Amino acid sequence: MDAHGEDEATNHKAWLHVGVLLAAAFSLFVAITYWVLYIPE
Amino acid sequence: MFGLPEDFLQSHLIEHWIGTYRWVWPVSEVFHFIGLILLVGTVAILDLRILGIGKRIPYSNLAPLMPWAVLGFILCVVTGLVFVTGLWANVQMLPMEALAIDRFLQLKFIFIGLAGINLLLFTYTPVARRIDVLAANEEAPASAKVMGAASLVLWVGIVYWGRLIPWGL
Repeated sequence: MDAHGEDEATNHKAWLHVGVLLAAAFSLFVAITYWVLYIPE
Repeated sequence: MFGLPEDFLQSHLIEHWIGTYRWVWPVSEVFHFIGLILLVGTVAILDLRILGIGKRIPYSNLAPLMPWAVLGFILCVVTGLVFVTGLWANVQMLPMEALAIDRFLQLKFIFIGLAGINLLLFTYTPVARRIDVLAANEEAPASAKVMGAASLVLWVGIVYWGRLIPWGL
């Protein structure tokens, strides 16, 4: 716990989870973008 | 499309304003972005708290930000309607035509719908009542974290697909 009562290890874990979530989301968005723009129907 | 007339959502008045006054489109864009900042910024703060970031802040301290998100949503809808109803003045295309061919516009609306369903699920299930009393340093339940994660991804996606709309026309 830090001076504000925050559990730093848990907080780092939460940031890591959010980072992985957003990285996965952007990877999916970029993949869909390429599919829409460059793969003909 | 959907049995609607092909000029559905077309407004000659808005087209006239956009065509006559060059400032209408950029001013609408600016307010659309301000709306996005208020909406996505507020929603992201609440979602991140649910996901365990800034845990020292009780959720009840963040909940009063919600009216700013509602104001942002209203700004986005009003300015979005300017872009849709006056589309002809910008790209010589009818709104229903754009909706039929633009995959990115379709994805944006699908994501908005999913975000709405997620919000309804959050609000009308016991999850919201559990989150409302989330104290400092308290972990949100797993169901709330799933909804928070979905909300964050959907709103980031809505902004992403929105930026790509011109490339889908």
